[in-house]
Amino acid sequence: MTCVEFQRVLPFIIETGGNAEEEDHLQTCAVCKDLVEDLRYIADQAKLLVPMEDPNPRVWEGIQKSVEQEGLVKTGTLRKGLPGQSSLIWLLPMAAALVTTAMRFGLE
Amino acid sequence: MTEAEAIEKAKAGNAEAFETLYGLHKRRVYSLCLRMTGNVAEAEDLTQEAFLQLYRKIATFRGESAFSTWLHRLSVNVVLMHLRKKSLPEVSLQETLDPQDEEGPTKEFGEKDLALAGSIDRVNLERAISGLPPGYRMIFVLHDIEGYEHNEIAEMMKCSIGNSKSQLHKARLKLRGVLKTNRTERKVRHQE
Repeated sequence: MTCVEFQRVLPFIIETGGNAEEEDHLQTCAVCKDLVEDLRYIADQAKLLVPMEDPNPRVWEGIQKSVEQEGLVKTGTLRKGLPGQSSLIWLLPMAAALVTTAMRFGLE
Repeated sequence: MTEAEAIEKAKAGNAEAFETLYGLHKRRVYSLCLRMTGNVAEAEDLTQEAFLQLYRKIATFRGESAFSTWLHRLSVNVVLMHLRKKSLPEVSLQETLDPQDEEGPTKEFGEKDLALAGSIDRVNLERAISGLPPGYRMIFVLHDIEGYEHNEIAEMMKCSIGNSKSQLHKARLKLRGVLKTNRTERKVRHQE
């Protein structure tokens, strides 16, 4: 089997394995062996790619607007700001109150 | 609120539940859209559309598959619909007959010390993927990153399984070429 013949069928056998002649060529041909190793390595590395990054906050703003316009929200109101931020917003006055209280006790 | 609780409450139109589901899944949906389109603005629009469709259709989610799988499939469909409207060639439906596109025996890469193993980093790979032609990028993202099987891709892309395998192979070959070129250029710069 020549390299041309092997590489012609490679797309269809790379995941499942080839017949005896194809496997024999793979074992004996350094060029095709390197090619297959590289292609499999690329596929393996791709599997490890994690979700990259969060979308711009304007995406959520757009969703909020559309959801309200379409009347999809029936209970509660979509809070302004990013999901998860709202829990931080009420923490701030709480933290301020704690600091004030601690200072008062400290002074006394 | 757990995801399960958020799903049930979202079915009733609960705003906080909508936010919870968005917070849990925005990164994966956006990354999928960005990798498939290669364009930030499009990815943002498509992410928005995917979540809107989620909220419209959530009452139909029966729990037969994992919610993330259901949302993922919905997101892929949103991107594919968008690309069809743009009349982008999602997949070349015929094998290219251009000889320049055929990768013959790659004798120039036949030396052991040029093997890629161990030399790819995530940034270079992401960059190389974003540079793929749209059709190749789509198949590569769906199969190698997102884990769809060829029969699923064939159904989504309205092509044959053989075509899906062939396009994937070409995508990987292109990536191999780009990654090897990048590595050679880095070596030359390092030596200078």
